[in-house]
Amino acid sequence: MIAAIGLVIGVVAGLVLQPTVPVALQPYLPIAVVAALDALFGGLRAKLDGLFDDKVFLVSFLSNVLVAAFIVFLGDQLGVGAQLSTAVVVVLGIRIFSNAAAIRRHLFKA
Amino acid sequence: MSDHTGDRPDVPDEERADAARPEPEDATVLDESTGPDGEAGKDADTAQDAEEVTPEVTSEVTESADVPVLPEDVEGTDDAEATGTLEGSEAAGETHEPDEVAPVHEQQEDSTGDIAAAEDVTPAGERDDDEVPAGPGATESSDEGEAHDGTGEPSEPEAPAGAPVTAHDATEDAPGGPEPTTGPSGWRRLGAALRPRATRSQVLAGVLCAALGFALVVQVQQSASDQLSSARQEDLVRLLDEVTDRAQQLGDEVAGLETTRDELRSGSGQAQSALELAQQRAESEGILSGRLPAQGPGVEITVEDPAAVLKASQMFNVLEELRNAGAEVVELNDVRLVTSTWFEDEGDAIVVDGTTLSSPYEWTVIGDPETMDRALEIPGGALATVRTAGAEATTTQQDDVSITAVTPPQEPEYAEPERERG
Repeated sequence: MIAAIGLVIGVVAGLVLQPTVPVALQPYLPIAVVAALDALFGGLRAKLDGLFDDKVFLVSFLSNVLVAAFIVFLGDQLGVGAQLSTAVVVVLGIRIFSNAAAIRRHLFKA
Repeated sequence: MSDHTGDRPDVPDEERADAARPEPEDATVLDESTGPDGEAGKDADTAQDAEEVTPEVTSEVTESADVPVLPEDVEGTDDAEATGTLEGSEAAGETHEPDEVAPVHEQQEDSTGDIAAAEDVTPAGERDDDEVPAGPGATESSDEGEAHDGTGEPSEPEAPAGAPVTAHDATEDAPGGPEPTTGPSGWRRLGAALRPRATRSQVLAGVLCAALGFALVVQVQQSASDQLSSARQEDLVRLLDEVTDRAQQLGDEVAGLETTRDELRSGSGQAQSALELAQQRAESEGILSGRLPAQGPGVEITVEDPAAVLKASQMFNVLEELRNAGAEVVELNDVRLVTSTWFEDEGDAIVVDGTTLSSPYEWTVIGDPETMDRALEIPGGALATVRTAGAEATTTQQDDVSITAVTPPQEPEYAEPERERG
């Protein structure tokens, strides 16, 4: 519940503050958001599994974000930024899907 | 990361295998003894997860201490998880005590770090992964569900005990893993998770979710407001190329269309001038052919012949004299005189183009007044002849005379425009 409230607060803050993304962060923010989404789904699934651990959640959340951004950064330096971004998004998308499938199995048994 | 998820579904099977047929189990262990090496050494994740175990275990211990658990429950939950397996094997025989849980987990920690210890657990896990993903899970879960229904509470605390592995670390697992543990408690767990409690994990999750929501909205707005600013350099270059090409194409199109427009405009100008020329020609020819009224400088000639002594030939002479002097438009008593005009004597009267004239004869002529006047007054000329015959003739030069009489043009009956000679 607190997580949901936090999500709402974050969305409202974003809508109200209307911040501008620094140019240096612009290539990485979308990837980081996807990575965080992945961590969020993983956390929800862990919760349903009864395995949720806040420390692991925190670490995986931050490491997901940082690693994803770092991969993109590395790709940009190597000149394959677009391809690596795609790769990261694909991998994270697969993870999100599998997590969503596990959650669905938990809740609907199907 | 996938190791543990792999482990979890497996273990139950392992356990069952132990119960049913211990020996083949050993064989499999031998076969797959290499497996644990890789797994045990593989990740830091495993180690970390193993570390994670401890807090969970303690919590589980406390909770399980609170609520006496039926053996069935123990088995059910144990089935789901690797740690549970060992625990279950021990607990199955005895009434389970919370104290036993901790050592079990310790053992599992060893197993993750230690190859020898891991042999018991992991090989079965790998085998199960392929063979029996969902089947046992389903049956187990149904059992477990009943157990939960009977006991109510105890199921919840036990689930977290077994697997320290967090689900978000486990990506690939899926099929069998979660099912055994869930049962009907999925919604209940969700409800429990949604119950607001100011625990550390809840607050942490809230903060992270807030950060995520913030970033999400910011990114969405960013990409919605300005798609170019988030584009990559090569994308921008490609976009620029496309735009440049497109602009060039459009420029070429503009040039072509302007050329066409100019052609059409000049064409219409030619047509316009041609039309004007045709109109001018039509007017002039209309005047000369007697089709149109006209005005201009000229002379007026009045011939009075009360005795009707004049003949048509004399009138015709006057007309010929006028033509020689350059008369352009001639009218005689409201009859327009054109090239086809004829004069005829009919008794004492004179008929012109079918119209019988009577004195006085009023000539109105457009042309050079002085020239015509002089030509008419030549000694022995046209008017001299008229006067000799006994009629009175006076000539007046006018700056502007107007001739309103018209004669409809006649279609030539025999003549036709000369055909172009090819």
